[in-house]
Amino acid sequence: MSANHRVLVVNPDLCTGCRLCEMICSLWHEDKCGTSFSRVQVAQWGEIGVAIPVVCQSCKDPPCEKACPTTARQRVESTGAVITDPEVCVGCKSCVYACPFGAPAVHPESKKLMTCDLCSGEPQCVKVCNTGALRYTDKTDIALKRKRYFAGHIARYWKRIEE
Amino acid sequence: MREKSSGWQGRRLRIDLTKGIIEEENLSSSYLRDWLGGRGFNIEVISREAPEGLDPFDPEAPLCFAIGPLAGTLAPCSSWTSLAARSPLTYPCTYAYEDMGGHWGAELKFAGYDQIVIKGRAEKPVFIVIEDQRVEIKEANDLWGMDTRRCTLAIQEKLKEREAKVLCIGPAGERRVRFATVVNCFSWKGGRLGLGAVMGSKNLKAIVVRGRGSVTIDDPKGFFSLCHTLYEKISHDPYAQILGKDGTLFPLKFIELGFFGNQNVRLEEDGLKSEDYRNQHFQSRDACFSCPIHCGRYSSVKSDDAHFGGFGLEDLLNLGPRIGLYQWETILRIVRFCLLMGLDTVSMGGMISWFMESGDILYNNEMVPKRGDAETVFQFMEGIVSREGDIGKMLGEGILRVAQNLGKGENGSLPVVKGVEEASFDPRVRPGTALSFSLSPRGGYLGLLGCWEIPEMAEYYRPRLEESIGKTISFPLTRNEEIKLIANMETREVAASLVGVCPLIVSRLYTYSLPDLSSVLQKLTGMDIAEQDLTARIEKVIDLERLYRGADGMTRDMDTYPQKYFHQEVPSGKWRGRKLEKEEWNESLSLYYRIRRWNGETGLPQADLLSKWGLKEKRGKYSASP
Repeated sequence: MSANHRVLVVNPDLCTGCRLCEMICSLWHEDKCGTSFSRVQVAQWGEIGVAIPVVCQSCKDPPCEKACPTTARQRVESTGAVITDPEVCVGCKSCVYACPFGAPAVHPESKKLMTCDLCSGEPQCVKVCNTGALRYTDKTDIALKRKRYFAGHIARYWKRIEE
Repeated sequence: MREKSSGWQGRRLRIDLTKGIIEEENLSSSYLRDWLGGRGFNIEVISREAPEGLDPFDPEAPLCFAIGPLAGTLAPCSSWTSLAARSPLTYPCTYAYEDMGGHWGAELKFAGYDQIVIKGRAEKPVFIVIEDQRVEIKEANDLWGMDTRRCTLAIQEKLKEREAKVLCIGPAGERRVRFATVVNCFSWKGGRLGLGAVMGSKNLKAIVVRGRGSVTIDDPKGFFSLCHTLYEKISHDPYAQILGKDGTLFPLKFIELGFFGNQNVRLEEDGLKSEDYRNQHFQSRDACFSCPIHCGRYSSVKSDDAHFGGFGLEDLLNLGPRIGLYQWETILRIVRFCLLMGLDTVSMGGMISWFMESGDILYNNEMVPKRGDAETVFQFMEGIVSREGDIGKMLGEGILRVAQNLGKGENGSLPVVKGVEEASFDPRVRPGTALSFSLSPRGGYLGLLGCWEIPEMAEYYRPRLEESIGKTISFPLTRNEEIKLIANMETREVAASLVGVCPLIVSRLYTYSLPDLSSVLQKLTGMDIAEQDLTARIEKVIDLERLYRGADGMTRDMDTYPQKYFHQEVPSGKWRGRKLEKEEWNESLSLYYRIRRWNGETGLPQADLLSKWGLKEKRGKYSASP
């Protein structure tokens, strides 16, 4: 089964905010460790015990792609991930504003935008997430339903946080 | 010029609050290699810069925060912070350290520092903001008086930065309660032995860190695969799994073995059931930075309509059964109060239980808490935090100083070890564990628990212990073996602090072995630090810490428990008739000193050890060579 039959599912209910995903992501992509260098970023509200991994959901009809003035946002067919071409990106951050999750992050050094590329079909963050908050599963109907359900969950968390 | 070093940032931040001076000091690679980090950096600075006898509240007394090379990396459980200062609680006052979990340490690394040393006293309340090597001292008049939760939120709001990691003190620290702690990121307490009071004495309310930098790695591929192997090892460790599932409350089922609980605790019969906590108060799991275990517990307190993090075994035992309380709701309310005020729960529980028994020594009985009565407990705690009136002022000093104040300090029955409130544990039940507690520089502290004595855990421990002391063993252990293991456990605890890893996973569960630590350090730093080099640094730190305390007068005769335990037998229950034996105690102590190669009479390192570690005697006190 090729990689684009699989999706990254986020379940914020299970996230404890350990941020191992950020460490492995930055080490894999950048050869160094740093939360700011990670494609997945955990937003935490320590006062209410809530942690939410924010990561590109590779939307079916990505608003970032539409918002990008330079066509830097492109889908990789083999994995289904929507990524930024750093050669084309001008760092305008339009994608950040267009994204309903605020998933794109600014690379602290190049100032270009970066999002999850699903590590060419083998997401490393999943390897160190023993809580199950991040899972890479088959894109069966059920997985898609769950993905939808938990995306809705994030919206509900937002509401709670804003209250 | 700063040398490029992988793992460390190679920078120490020095802040003088009296003069408002902020300085950066570069740390050479040989310095980093010699002291590694954590307790190593801290004792090195304190032994050079804080003369023995210095009042912990003197503006010149340094307050240090250090992290290890592994902090802020993929290495599992690796973002612990070591705090150190001269403690206002120990008797005599001397060097005290504390290792603290949470997220603050990793953020400090990303902000570009390995250590912060704070001296001086600000004229008015201030807080320090460290943002990617931009450091500022800001006014904190509006924050002074706030509890730790409100203060953290107010600072995040003020800086418009929700990712800022706030370490702060509560009202207890501001008012120099001698057992005040610091709290980082809402949930993690640190600084038992009054390091929060030291921070308060500097008029320093908080240290806020935001770091967007990174940690460079010498061999990224090798480090990646080793960290992943360690991650798998920890994730599949049976007791790490139990710890993740039940939190630090998991040993509750072993409570009848007498490892903890000052009286004959029967939790279940008295209504303190673990499943009630799980069903009614457990909200979610919480984790320190880069930890795959997730032992933190986020709990709800219904009557206060509140939630809080950081509830653990010690909190439960000290503020529950120890003071006659067996309702989760009440205990959680009290623990939350301590977290908000920045009070240490072990000392607090010790204080309350002592006053419940001996409160009549106070001339105002209205203040005395009553066993099992939560409202009187709250009133007592509020009295301590307020430090108002004669009694309030006095109570904030801890058991020993209150008793001294009232002329009752010398009778050998005070529940203190080295001046510090003893842990919730009867030493007569487990003399081996008691010895390890008494050796701990932190007074009686549950940190060096001999879990291998728990029959259910014995088979888990056996191979790990055999590897540690290099011979086959069978249970029960001989005294010789037991003392060896106590020393080994202490060595591991220091190892954890030097590299910046969770002490629980290194010295209680033995999941990280010393060879693991040395290989992960080598991949990270590129330095050739073999296991024996690591051991040598650990021993140097243990020796130097002991020497420093020795100069303050903390010698062999203080490695003991209150005398009453040598004379009075356990009056009733399963352990009836047990007491500590003086002769046995002394033999065990001598055995321990022999392992450390310390002088049997003084309990201090010998002169040849000093030269071995390059330590020198300076004006009658010992110090690291500069």
